[in-house]
Amino acid sequence: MTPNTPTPNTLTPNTVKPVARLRASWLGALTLLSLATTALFALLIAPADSVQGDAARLLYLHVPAAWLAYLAFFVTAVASALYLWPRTRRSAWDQLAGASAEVGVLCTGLTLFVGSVWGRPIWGTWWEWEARLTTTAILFFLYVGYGALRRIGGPGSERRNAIAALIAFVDVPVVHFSVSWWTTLHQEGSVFNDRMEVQIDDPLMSLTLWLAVASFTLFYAWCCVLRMRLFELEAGRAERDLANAIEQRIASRAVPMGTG
Amino acid sequence: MDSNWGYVALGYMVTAGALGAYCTHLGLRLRRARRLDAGRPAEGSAPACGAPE
Amino acid sequence: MTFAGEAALVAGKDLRIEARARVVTAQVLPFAGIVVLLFAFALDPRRNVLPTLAPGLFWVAVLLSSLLAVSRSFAIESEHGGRDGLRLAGLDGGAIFLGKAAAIGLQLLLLEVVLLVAVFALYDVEVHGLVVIVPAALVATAGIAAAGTVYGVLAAGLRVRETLVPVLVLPAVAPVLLGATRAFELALAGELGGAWRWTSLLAVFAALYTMLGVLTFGPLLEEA
Repeated sequence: MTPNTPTPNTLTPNTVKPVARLRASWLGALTLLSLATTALFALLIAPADSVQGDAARLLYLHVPAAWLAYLAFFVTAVASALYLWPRTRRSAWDQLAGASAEVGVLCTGLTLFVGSVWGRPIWGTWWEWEARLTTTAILFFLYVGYGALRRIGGPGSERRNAIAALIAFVDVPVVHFSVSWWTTLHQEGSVFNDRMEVQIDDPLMSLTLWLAVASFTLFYAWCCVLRMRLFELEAGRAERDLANAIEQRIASRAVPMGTG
Repeated sequence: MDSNWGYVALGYMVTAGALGAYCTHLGLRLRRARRLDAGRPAEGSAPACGAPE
Repeated sequence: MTFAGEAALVAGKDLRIEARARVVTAQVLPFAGIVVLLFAFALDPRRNVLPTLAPGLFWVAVLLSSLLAVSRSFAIESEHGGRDGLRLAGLDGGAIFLGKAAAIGLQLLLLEVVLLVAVFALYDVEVHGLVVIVPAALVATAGIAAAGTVYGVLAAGLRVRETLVPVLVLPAVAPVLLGATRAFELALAGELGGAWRWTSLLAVFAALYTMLGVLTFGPLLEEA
């Protein structure tokens, strides 16, 4: 059919990035190890809180997840800005923005869920309209909207995604302030004393919290690497599919003209 | 306060499940993408600019 | 032509189209009215809370109506190559943004006047603190119009525009809902200081999204 000799496909990750793949596995192993260690500390080794009891152990999940949600959003914004800046414009930044946002949605959702579960024994309700939870809820929907926009793709999507991410990011401080003002209005002298923190008197609790934050951050980094690789593979495949389709089209046109 | 362990368990199990599910999902998609990739090396050359002879 | 002149040109165009087609007056306004009624039906068993909830319900109705207004504002550009026309007309992107946002804002303000009368009457609210309520409504509307226009152009050329714009706009304007409702509540209760504080937050939001719009509308219009 097509008389070209097969040339090695330089986009095949098998040839290009065996080293990078090794690094990701190492990162993955480290992540799993640190998560396991965190669970061990959080559930068994760290003592129960004097005020909140064992329910405080949920904060070893809630606080890192919340930290990660904001970190991920921040990274998405920075990557988007780097994409928009002409000198640093590369598709990789758009991929990082997307990868970070995806993990971010996961962590934001987790923050809300674990926060709610924590709240049930502490506040007696599954939800309280307190500043951090409410802001996180809005953040969640901002992310989800961004994800819906990303999914559309197509030409010009990278710039569109980047602008959308920055607009949303700029919105976050305004959201934070308005929600904070709003909640302080509600909680003047109320019984709402149990804030979503532990009194870090105990060094073990402090260690566990830092361990948890570190583990979650590793998890975030690992997922970003994996997700970016997936973006790359799929983009490469889309390019090759297009190239193949063009080739076949040319070939099918050429056949009647050729002498067989 | 023993009843709190139920909530703790709920929180940890869902978290582990969510994180694990996401990683597995990524891993599976990656594996599929690599397989599709690996099946193409012979065909994957870019088309020549001129028409084939 | 001056920047302001270009903006006025675009705003005038949009408003003239509305004057002839009357989509906002004939469709969006009744929509807002129905929403106000539905709230009353939904909360009927405890009707004595309606006056308390009136500010919030009013602004929710305005927000939902703004989604329709934004959608309409960009729908008129998608026919007959309107977006291409805008691009080729040589107008500054920021000016187009201001023009479109101003048109949306004006339409919303008209809607709000009618809605305010309806809400105050139907929900039996005593009117106080108009000196704050009017500025608060102005800046809140400016913020909603600006944010709506930004996200509207972001989604302008997409087939899923209708369902995407609400998902993008509503979380982003949550501060406006919070702020405007609180400002109204405090004004009605006579606490003007607090109401002015919220109004300044609304002003910050409006300024922020106006600035974002002026900066990003041009590039986004090119992609649409």
